[in-house]
Amino acid sequence: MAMPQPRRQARSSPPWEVLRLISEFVGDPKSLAVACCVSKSWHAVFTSDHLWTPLCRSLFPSSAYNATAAAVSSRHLFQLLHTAASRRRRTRSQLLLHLPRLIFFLDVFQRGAPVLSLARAGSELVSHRGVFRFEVPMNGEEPAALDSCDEVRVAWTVVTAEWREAFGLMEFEGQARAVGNREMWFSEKLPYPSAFCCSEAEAGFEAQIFIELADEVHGGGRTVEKVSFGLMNTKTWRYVKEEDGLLYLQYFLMDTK
Amino acid sequence: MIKLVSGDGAEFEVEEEVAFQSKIIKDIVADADDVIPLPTVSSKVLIQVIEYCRKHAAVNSFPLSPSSSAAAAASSSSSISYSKPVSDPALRAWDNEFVKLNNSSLFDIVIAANYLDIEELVDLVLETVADRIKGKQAQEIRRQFNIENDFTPEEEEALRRENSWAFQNN
Repeated sequence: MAMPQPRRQARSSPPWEVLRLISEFVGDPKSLAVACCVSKSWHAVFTSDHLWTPLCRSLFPSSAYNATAAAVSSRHLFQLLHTAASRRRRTRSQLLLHLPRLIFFLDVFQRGAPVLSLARAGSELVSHRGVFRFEVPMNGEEPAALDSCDEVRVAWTVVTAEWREAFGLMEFEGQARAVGNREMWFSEKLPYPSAFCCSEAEAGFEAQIFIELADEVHGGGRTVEKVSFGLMNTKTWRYVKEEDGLLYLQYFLMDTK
Repeated sequence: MIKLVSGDGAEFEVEEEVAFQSKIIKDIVADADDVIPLPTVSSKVLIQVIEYCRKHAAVNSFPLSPSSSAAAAASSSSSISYSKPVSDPALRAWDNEFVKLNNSSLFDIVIAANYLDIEELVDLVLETVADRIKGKQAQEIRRQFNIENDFTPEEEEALRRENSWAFQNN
């Protein structure tokens, strides 16, 4: 007998209606959460309230009494309550943020005008002996000449590569600490969140920027030869390790669980 | 005997108790004739489904172990039990062999079994496929089921953040 061949080419991805049936058999929350990340159609199936509501109700029965009023999905609720417990237990954060995902912006103003502006992607930066301190070569395109005796306003900001989050590392205004005529130094204490844990058991963090100027004077200022910036642990007076610096930024740039 | 006709025209004669593993066929036969066209089921899949039904019809009609018959007697006295879990270890082993198939065959079977309302077979296949998902990483699942990752890097990053609790071990 002639067999018609209406079949599509060999496919092994589940049709939508089958996926819906399968989703009800997966059961454990971790596997469901991972399945949400497989593809858009899997996300649609595996985020469904009919999978997550029973999990919420069985693990966090009290959530049924209040959360129903809020327009929040059961999956979100489960996630929130699940991580609430693990946040408390957290000892050391897991590092998820990587240097190449960051862009650093530095702007220095004198008398209201930009005198030094630079933007550097983390991928261009090389950590100095494994610590969170970077020497930034000047590329000649950006304004970079200033007067070491004059007051400055400094803004140093770090942004994640997708422009999703930003964190201000320094907002300084006033007289720089000058070392001779050719070096300027700015520092500013950073907040130290109590929940933040890194390998530096006791730490206070400080943002630091050094600017080295050339000998020759151009108009009102000296050309910038070199800029370096970093994070200092003020309890030990050492630069923090690169990983700890990233962990610190991660605290502000990513809401890690 | 009941005649089942697959979508591609193949005919299969099966005993009533085999065909009646499907609740739909049982209902149809009650008020219609004995030739049942199944246009959405291919002969390849129908052969597999019949194989399953034949095995289960045979085992279900002869309760094997005294414990299971005692349990059946106990439950029948109170109420009629549908879809009893497969308790016979030999049948369970047979089922485990039966589902050693690639994913697309399993999907075809589950679609047919769902259509024919063969509850135990639907459960068996779905459990098997779910086991191929549980405890895996998203990338392994994509490879296993040949799924394209259609998230943008931004979306993927957001999902990774949102679900990071599930990616950590323990």
